[in-house]
Amino acid sequence: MTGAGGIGYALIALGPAFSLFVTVIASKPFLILTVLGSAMMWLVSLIASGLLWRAFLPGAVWVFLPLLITVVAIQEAVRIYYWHLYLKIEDFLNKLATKVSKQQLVATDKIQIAIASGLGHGIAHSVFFCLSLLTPAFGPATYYVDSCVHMPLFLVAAFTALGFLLLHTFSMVIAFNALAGDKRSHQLFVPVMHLCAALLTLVNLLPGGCIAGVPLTLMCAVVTMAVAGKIVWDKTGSGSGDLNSLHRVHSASRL
Amino acid sequence: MEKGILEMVGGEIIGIVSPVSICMLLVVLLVHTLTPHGSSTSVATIAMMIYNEQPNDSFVEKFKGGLLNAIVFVCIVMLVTFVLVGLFYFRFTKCLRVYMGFSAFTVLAWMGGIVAVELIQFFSIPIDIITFAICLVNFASVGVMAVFFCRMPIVLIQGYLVVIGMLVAFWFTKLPEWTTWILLVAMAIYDIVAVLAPGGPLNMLVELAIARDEDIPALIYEARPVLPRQISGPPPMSSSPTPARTRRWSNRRAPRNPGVGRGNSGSNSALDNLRTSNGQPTSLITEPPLAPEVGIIGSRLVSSTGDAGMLNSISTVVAGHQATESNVDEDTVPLVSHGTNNSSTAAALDGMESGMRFQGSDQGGSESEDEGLGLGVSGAVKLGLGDFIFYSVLVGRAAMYDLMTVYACYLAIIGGLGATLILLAVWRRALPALPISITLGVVFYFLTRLILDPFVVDLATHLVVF
Repeated sequence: MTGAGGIGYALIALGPAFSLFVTVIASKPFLILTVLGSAMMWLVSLIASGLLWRAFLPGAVWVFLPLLITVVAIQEAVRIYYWHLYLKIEDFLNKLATKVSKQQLVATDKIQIAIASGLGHGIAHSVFFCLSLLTPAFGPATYYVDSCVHMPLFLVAAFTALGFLLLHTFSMVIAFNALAGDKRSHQLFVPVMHLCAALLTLVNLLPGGCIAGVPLTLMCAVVTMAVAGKIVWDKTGSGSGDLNSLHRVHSASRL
Repeated sequence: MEKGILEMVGGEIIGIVSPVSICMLLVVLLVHTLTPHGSSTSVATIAMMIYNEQPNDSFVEKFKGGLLNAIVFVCIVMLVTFVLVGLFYFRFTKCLRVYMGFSAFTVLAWMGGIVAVELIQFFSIPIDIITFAICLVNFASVGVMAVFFCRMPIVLIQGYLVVIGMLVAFWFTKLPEWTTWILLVAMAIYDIVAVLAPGGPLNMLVELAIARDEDIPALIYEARPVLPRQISGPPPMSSSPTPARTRRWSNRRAPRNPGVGRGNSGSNSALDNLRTSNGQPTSLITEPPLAPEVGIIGSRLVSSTGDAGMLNSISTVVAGHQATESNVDEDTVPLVSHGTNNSSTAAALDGMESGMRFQGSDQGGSESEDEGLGLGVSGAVKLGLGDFIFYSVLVGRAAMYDLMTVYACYLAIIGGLGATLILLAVWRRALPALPISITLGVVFYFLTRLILDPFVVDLATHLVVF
């Protein structure tokens, strides 16, 4: 639907990611590299899933259920592997910090790295599932899928991508925190929420399902955000609620 | 606010990833607007001397033809590199510089002119021929001067280098599909051979340059150091023992448009001489290396890492080096120089400088002082222009299929670049920079095109995502 429409869809899918990037990540080169690295890992997991299921698509509708379960399982396994990589990198950074006599990684640093990793996953997801479809959206017409006559395909894809972007970003924060602190409940929360969100998109297959599917996806994202927010709030000391406590200067309030 | 470790690490890698990304983005935009399905008119180039690919040739024929084209191209490139080595050996530096300046001018004026005309036609921009001619000639002249001869704001120089890379890469995307892919793979293999084999031309070039402590004439993109140096030391000039003849991987020439049949690549030697004659240490290497250097020929990354720079940090931590306090503080960093290969035509060979050189830390720590002058050797990363060009060619060719392949190839190339840097820091020897990125890029392209595209599109049109 012309350039304005295309840009609009792209901004719906990637706007929050862009603002997160500019505020949190752009000033720290290491975080930019983290975003790129985790995007690449997500892409590799996507290719692995594709290799597995390529033969079955396009196929019957019931294929989607086992497909989603296996793909989510692969992605969660990649997340755990990424966590182990992160431990090594954290070690390396701490060693480097002692060498150049700087402070070691503090809690906000770790949270920022977690956000960057999650953002990498989320941006890769948005780019591959939404942006790459948007090329026709810049043209003069639009496209509706059979099962969803209420919203153009691009709009549904944009909203769903937005939901999943937020989901990926903040579930990485939760996952890092849970794996570091070994909290079972949160460790389980992440894969379960991911699977829920993925399965809820199956609602979109029903005729007219996207009316329910899109809000459900966005709700999953909001829940994940809330949980992540609560974790960060607890971690950075809810007592000192002002922003100063998040700066490096006040290292006493760290961890 | 006290700066933590997170702000310091990785700056120079971003300094080189950004221009590579910008170049790729520009090429993708150009390809997407002007030739979204490949060039309709085949361009007569050196790369297509043997076999002119037709759309309805058989698979085997295309493959064989592409292979022949690629082999011929690589041979010509190798010949020209040897010529360049010969010229350098016999100290015909003026000749090299003039040639490279002429090449850069041709790239900017001729290829730039053609691209500009196509854009004007596409967007129906009202402009008359006189204005256009004046603008073009000015643009090209400033470009040549910026890259080779005069001191200008670094942003301008970087911008012109990126534009030169973009133009040549766009020209390369006009090659037919099979030839392009086989050519990319052939260049990656050539890169490995030329850099690692003892008789390889780039190897010889680097060794000559090391032995003589001279600059190699080539087109090199140089990033600015990112981290403010926290240690202020004596001015670099006073500490640098040989300000006049610092070894410096200068600009490589841009690959020349194959259709022209001439080589391009300007040499930086003129610029280097000018700079060094001013008595200012060049922003590249400012002192003779104390440790044996490791050079990578071909597309090399030149980087001097800051005291917390990624490469230095990797090498120090991984190799367990005990960086002395003075070394670390004075920001002496292994300098990795990287020339890029221009393999466009024989002429491009003189531009092929490659090599990642790893210089030993200098006790003088003169790099840190460069910051005071704004030159900043430390933390400056240099990447040869040939790398820009081949990465952009790969991504541009991917853009002709779909944007999804573009994203996948972009991530693959950046990943390959990062891996090469890390390998460099770990192995501390000359490594070619093209192979890993090109291999990953080609693999990801075909994987995405054959597997991922139908997979994702099918899922997305059913509105099922994960």
